[in-house]
Amino acid sequence: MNNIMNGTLNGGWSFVLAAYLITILALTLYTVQLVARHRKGTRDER
Amino acid sequence: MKQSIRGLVGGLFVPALLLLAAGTYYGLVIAPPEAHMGETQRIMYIHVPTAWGAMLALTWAAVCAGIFLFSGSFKWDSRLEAAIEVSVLLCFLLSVQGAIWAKPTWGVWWDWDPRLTTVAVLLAAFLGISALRHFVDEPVRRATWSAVATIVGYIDVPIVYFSVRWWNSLHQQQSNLSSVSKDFLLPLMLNGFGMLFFIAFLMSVRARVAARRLREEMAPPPEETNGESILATEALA
Repeated sequence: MNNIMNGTLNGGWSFVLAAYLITILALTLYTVQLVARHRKGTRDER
Repeated sequence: MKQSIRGLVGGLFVPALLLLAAGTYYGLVIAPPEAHMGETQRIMYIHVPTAWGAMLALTWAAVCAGIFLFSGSFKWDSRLEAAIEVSVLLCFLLSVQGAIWAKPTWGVWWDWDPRLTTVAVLLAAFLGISALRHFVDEPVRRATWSAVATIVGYIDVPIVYFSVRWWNSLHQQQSNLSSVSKDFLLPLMLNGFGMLFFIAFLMSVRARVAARRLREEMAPPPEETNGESILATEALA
């Protein structure tokens, strides 16, 4: 709490980068598997 | 139904990537740190657009569920399946981002705060609906049950939104355009629109995957060509 009052939160950037990296990783993995599923389905249907 | 997703890539995915890249660059490099939270506040540029995306996806799920129950058209069931899955992903990311932001600001990863608890309930509810869709094989039952469950689960969405006003919450209340600095607003809006295009892309592709599975499930069985059915056909003739 004192850190917040002083405006000097410790490790700020590490938390920011963790949040961004987890989000980017999750969205990338979901998108890749989704496009792969779609392409496989299209191939199978043909 | 169109098989290629090239139109979706050009119309939704590429604009989403450009907007998210610009918003992320502005939010991490150009925007100044916030006076009290310092650099940690930059999580807002991804956390708030994720929350907007989750609310939009959940609202779209409720709309699809309502239209399916009203019309019985299975194209809305495919769209519902897509919206549920994307909603679960976004609610999960929202909770993870929130925990990462909570640790340096509140001193804990998790608290049974009204906002956090109602989002957890939402995640659990839609995870349950997603599981329900996997367990039920019969298409009509699956569509009807999940549509009803979606509308029931959606009741939690306004509770999530107003939880910070109704109860004493650690989570801050919603800001408005006049209370946010322009330096903070631009990356927020870039990522917000980027997320909108991105979830529209994901839900469109996922709905096509769901529609294809539905077509396979509801297709009539192939005609039998063994001796018995040929004999039966001759007997009828």
